[in-house]
Parts: sequence; C-alpha cells; structure tokens
Amino acid sequence: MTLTREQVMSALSQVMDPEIPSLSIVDLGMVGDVMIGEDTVRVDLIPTFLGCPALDFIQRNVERALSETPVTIRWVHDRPWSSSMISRRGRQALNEWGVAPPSDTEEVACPFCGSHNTSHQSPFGHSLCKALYYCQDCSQPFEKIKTI
Amino acid sequence: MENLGESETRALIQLIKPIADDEWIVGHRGSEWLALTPDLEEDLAFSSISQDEMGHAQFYYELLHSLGLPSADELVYLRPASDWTNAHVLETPNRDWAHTVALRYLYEVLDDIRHEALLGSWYQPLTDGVRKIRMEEKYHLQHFTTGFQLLATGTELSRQRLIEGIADIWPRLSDLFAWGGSEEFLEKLGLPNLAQSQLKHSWTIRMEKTFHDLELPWPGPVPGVKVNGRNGEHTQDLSDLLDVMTEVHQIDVSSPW
Repeated sequence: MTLTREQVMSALSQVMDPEIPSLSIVDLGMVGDVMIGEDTVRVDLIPTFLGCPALDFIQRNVERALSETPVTIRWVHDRPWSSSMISRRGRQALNEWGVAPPSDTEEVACPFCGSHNTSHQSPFGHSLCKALYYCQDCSQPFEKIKTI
Repeated sequence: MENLGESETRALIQLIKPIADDEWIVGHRGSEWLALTPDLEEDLAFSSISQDEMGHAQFYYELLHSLGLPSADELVYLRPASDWTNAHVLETPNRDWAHTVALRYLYEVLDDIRHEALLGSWYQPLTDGVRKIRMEEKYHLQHFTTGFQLLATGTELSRQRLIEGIADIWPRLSDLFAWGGSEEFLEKLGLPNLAQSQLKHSWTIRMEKTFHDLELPWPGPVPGVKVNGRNGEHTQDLSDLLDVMTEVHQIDVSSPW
C-alpha cells in the first residue's frame, strides 16, 4: 500500500531548500509529476540550475521524507525550471529570509526596507541562482533570485 | 527513451563528448582562479560561472552514460589524456587575467553559436538540456563580453595585455571548431550548421564585428587544425591538469565529493 498523492505532497512540502529554511521545494517549483503506482511512488524533480551543488542533498532529503514507501526519484529536463515557477508563498518566504524574489521588471524592492531605490551590482551572487543588489536607502547589500 | 540505432548512438556520442569535455576543462581552469581574480565580485562571478560549466558538463556526461559510455565519475576521473576530446587551447594553464578573459570571450561566443545550433537536434533528451543550459549561458556570454570590452577600452596596459593574450591564443584555436574524424555524423543528426566550416564562419563574423567596434587589430583568419584535441591530441598541459584534478581520487578511490 503506497501513500496517497496528498500524503506525498505533504511530505514534499516539508523538504526545504538547504539555504532558505522556510522555502520548500514545492514552493520553489522543483516538484514535477508525482506518480502513485501500486507499490511504488515516482517523484520527478526539476533542477533549478544544472550545476547546483544542493541537488544531491535535496534528493537525499526527498528520499528521507518518503522513507515509508519505495520511491523512485528522477531529475527531469523536459520543462526547464524558470524563476516564474516559484509560488506566491515561496516568494513571500524568500522576502522574509532577506532574498528578493525574481521580478519581470527592472525595479527590485529591498527585502529589508521595501525601498525601490536599489541598484544591480552583479549578475552573480554567492550561489548560481542569485544576483547581487544594493539598497541605496538602508545601505544594505542583498541578493535577488535571478530571473531566468 | 527513444529507440536509437547503433549509428545514431555513435553519432550522438561523437557530437556530445567534445562539448562535454570543453565545458568540463573550461570549468576546471576557471575554478583555478578562485581567490585570485582581480576583485571580490569577479571571484564570486567566476566561481559561479565555473560551477555552471561543470554542471553543464555533468549533464552531458550523464547523457553519454545513457548512450552507453561509463558513468560521469569514471569519465572524469579515469580517462587518460588521449581519450579527452576538448579543444587543446582550453587546457592552456592560466596566465594573466587578460589572457583568461580573451580566451573565455572567444570560447563563449563559439559556445553560444554551438548551443543555438544544437537546438535543431531531433534528440529530445539533448535539446531539453540545451534549452536549460542556454538560460544559464546567457549570463556567461554577457559577463565575458563586458570583461573583454573593459580591458580593450580600459588603460593602455589592459589593452596591451588583452592583445597579447589574443595573439597567444589565436593560432591555437582551430580545433575548437573541429570534430573528431569525418563530419558525416552531423548529416545523420540533421545538424549541418555544426560543420567546422559553418561554425568558423559564424564565429568569425561575430569576432570581426567585436574587433572592429573595439578597434582591436584583426589577427586574421584562424589557421587550420594542427593539433586536434577532438582526436585525443593534446599538450602536456592536459596531463598536468588531469594529475591535479584526479589527485584525491588516486589517493582514495572511495572519497566522495
């Protein structure tokens, strides 16, 4: 007897991004198809960036979260991850953690003081998915999830 | 997975292996700049880019594994230099910053042309990954275009160093456009735009424009292939690189990342 889809999704929503503890991989948009078979569960995961060193770590945490049932995890590439796949709740979690969510416009709000008086410093932050910004009002450097 | 015939499989391996090796070697040489680039922001940027490149190589190695080659780890750690198919210029040890920026700009433009052409493949596991890779590579090309422009228009010294870097690299670029053996496999894969002559042509047009815009002396046509890395021909530099890269693995085979 395998888990129900709801149970699987609920378990996956407890698997957090290793760097942002309030952001689940579900809200990050990394969970693709979930297939519930007779006696096994298959979870498709979508890598955010191909070279992200956290991918193995996330896979192990998914296996742990679903350890009650035989699970097959596949990394799929047929629909590339894009930053628009982050959910509303995910965007909020990012902001609260001090990382600006991705934006379609040039305007980026400082996650600390909310000011729009910010400037782009570099497309490369301390991890593959982040760019560097600086807030002119609260003098705070901060990162933003790259829009891809 | 598609049912691939033996000749299609061979053609795909012939196509993907050099690209994987280029990305890996470029990523490895890039990682050697860690903590040594001219400023902190560059250090973040270049290590991020190198990590991307190695991620792209890993994707290609996994694809090669699915086509019957050994695993990614085995391909990286256990191959002798003569089985690597990267363009030999990419194994050149790092010199000064301008040399690296020159090499990387020249490489990223080719990589952009090559990846765009790869999207025309009928092999979906490849095009899925390439689509993703292009989203990431866009930032690399931007970065090294800016770096190249900065050095060309910065000080007399930066411009001089850039020109010297280009002069060192240019005569050794040829196998970057080449493939191992005959190009018949490209027909099989429906990718005529990846033929050596096509790649070189598209690349040269973009270079001529850049050199013209920045008023850099045009080094002339890229000479023909002398050393072809695609056929496993390399300099001692690759063996040295592999010795360093596999050192830990050679001490302890079971050591994980």
